[in-house]
Amino acid sequence: MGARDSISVTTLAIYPFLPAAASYIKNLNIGVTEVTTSPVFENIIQKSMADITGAIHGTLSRTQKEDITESEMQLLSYPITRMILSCMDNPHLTQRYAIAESKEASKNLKQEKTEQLKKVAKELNLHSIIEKKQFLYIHFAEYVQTAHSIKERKWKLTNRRLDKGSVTINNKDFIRLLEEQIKKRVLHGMPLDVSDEICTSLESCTEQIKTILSQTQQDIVYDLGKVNQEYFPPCIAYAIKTVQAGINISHSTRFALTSFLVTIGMSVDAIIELFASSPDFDAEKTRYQIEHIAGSGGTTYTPPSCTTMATFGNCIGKNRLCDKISHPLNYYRRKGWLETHKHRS
Amino acid sequence: MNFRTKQFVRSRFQHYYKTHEIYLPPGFDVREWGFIMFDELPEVRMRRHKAFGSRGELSDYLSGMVPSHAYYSTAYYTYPAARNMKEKRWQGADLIFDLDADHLRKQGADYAEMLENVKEETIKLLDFLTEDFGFRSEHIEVVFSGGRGYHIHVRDQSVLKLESGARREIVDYLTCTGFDYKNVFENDSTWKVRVSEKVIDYFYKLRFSVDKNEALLSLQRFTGVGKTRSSKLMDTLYGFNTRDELETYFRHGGFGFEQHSALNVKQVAENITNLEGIASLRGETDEPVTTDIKRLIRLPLSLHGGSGFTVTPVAIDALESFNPLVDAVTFGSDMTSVTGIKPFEIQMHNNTYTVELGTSVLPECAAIYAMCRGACEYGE
Ligand code: SF4
Repeated sequence: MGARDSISVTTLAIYPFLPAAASYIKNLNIGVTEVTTSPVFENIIQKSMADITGAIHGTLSRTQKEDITESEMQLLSYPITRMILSCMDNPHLTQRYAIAESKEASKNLKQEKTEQLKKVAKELNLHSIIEKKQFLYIHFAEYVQTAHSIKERKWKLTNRRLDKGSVTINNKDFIRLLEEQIKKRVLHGMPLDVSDEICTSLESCTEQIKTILSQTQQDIVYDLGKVNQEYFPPCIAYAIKTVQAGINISHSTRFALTSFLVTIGMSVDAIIELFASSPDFDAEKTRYQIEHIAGSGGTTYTPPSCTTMATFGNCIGKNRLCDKISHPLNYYRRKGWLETHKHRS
Repeated sequence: MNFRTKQFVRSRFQHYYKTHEIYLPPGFDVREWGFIMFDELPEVRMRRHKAFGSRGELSDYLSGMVPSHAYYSTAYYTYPAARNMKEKRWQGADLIFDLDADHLRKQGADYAEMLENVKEETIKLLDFLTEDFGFRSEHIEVVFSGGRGYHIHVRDQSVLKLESGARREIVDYLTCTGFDYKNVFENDSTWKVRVSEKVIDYFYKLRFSVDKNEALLSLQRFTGVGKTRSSKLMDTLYGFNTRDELETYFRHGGFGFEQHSALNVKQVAENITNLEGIASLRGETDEPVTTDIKRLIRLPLSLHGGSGFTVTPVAIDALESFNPLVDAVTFGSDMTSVTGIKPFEIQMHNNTYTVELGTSVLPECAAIYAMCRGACEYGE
């Protein structure tokens, strides 16, 4: 395909998830075992590790290098990264990585000309983009296939201009769509079917990442401040974990979580920080929503009961203490009471 | 349906299948087929996971087995006859809309009127599909379901691979679900253009073509709008002398849609989106047809075992004049005696036929309809 040839190696290195990058590697004719066992490739593995830890800490970054060998290293590290993640088989981490990768790509795509964006788009299966005057148009089927997973309202097809099958978008929208496609592309096929042998040879990497993960999780406990996370009911703990993994939660879960945290006295700022790892995070909007639930509009909202939680599929991880209560708040209080009394006796 | 009735209806269905051409959907050999048999009625057990390799095979099956209902999958599979979905290997699916009168708010006084209402909705939907979505009519097939509505099959290449969530977006568009009422006069989405125009039409009507009292009453239908607010709003409206002035006020009035002091305009707009969206696609709560990409759908030109009607394909430009109670009637007018179980009425060919308790004699088409509906049994 002509478009593939026209993206250079050095550019591919910052978009290593593109099919063109995969075929470039294929042409290098290097086997998986060679990469994972040869000391020559130590650097590649280091690069993979840096990318994964970067994703965990929100510092993943890709910059274009002039040097071809260095670019090839970057390209090669991508499939290795996917293998390491597959060996770990931690969906939260994979998701987090995919988001970090797509956000970084989006930052780089903003620097590109429309022509180049269109090439990238083709690589990501968006073939219908056309440019007319200052607007871009995309066929609705490609649009919905990409945008349906973006939760914000303005992405709903209902809120778009649709005429004879074409959806009008602007340049910013275009990049956001590419970002979403990239996330999907990175996640596609994950976890890969990696042999035990290879996973064993990658063990030092996976162990290292596990350590890093457990450290950050401790940070999170600390972040919640004076509220005691150990007393959280399973449903709330689960929702928090999901949010922190960067996975979008439904509106009802978000409401349940926020109203719960507000009620037990967590500050609005602390809650905003909690949501900051959501893929569609918008600080202003989040603040507005939380303050709204917290009662700045005059009404305060009580968190939903267990029955309501169950109705919306939010009662997750029910345990024995749950049988004794009918409201997540009671779980929190009761658990707190039990714990303090245990300590006294 | 007792045994004798089943025998009778089945033999009439068989006659139909023996004397009529069958319909083959494109890609019939990579679709799954499913049937419900007379013997098993009233229990509805579907025999699924069938596949046919040729027209003859299907035709033999229909005239030999004589199902009371016949379906095929909207999806295309690599192995359509495999026992479970994973093994079938999904390759894509037609885009399907099921317009069912049950989901209409406007129910209609009788079956005929209900069918007419749902036909209007179907025409409206077709308009959306061709205008907004740009589907070409050769990729759209409209079929009277044989029951209470219409099926639309879209087989445009671009939609076959869409996953369920993406299809949901299409339904939401058609029903105007998730519409952003903010800044409705900004016209940056197709629905905003549509809704804002109607909102302005509404106020225009209040100002120029309705008498003031009527206008006030119309406004007072909205919650939170009482005497004071409605008359304040009418005062504002009477300040305009042309439609242009009125339109400019709303479009460039410098106030947000929600913040209008005299009226929460959102309610007006909500009313409008309710009227303009495709109501019959709304309220399909569990497993809406369109988003279910593994659904089975009635085979066109088969017979509907719950009515005896022919599941009838209708050309788009013939839809306006299509009348299922004439054009989808399968059977003739041979007089047939039946024993009524419950009082029943049906219009066909512009006649009304009634089933009374006890014996009545009806033309075959009406008799079979009533038997299929469980209103009578065959014979005396
Ligand atoms: S039972 Fe109540 S507290 Fe327990 S997990 Fe379910 S919703 Fe949460």
